Amino acid sequence: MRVDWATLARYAESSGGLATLVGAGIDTYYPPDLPAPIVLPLTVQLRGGQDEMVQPHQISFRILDADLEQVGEEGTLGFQSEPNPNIEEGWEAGVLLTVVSQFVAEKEGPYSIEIAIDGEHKKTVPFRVLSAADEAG
Amino acid sequence: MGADIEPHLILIDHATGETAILEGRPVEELASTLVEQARAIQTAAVGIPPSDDEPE
Repeated sequence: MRVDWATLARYAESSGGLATLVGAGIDTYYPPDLPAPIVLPLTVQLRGGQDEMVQPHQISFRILDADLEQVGEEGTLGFQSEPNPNIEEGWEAGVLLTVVSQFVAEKEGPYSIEIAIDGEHKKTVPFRVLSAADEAG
Repeated sequence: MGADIEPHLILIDHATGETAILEGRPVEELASTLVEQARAIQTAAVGIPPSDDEPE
């Protein structure tokens, strides 16, 4: 199984196997002050063979700071896809997950969301936190 | 076909590592809060560092 793509947005939700994204493509947050609570609506497109997708899996999300230190705690959840009888022969199955991560950014700089499936790293989603006060000054 | 059309999302509080799955009405209620929070913080799409993800 792989993470085909993952993107941050202002808002995201999943329904009917699809995702609704508003303001997708964010990579920089400018909070007015630091520390600041940051909300990260992340949409993740998983792809894999249907046999693989219908097995139970665990997906985990960690946030790393510029020093590659983990910020807060890892969030892990289990998932299992329903078999899709309409899938075209030879096509990969897909699952869209919308995950809203919340953390407190203590300092400016680059951060990343690290996505792992069954303990194996699959994707890095980079983003930055910059103080709006610095940007204005 | 026949897929669940209720909106849903997964919440992760990295302060504790707790996860919660929201479906239906709670998602709709949370949506306005999240959009308000997003509007309160300026955001941008500037560019990202080169990826070192291994191609599959």
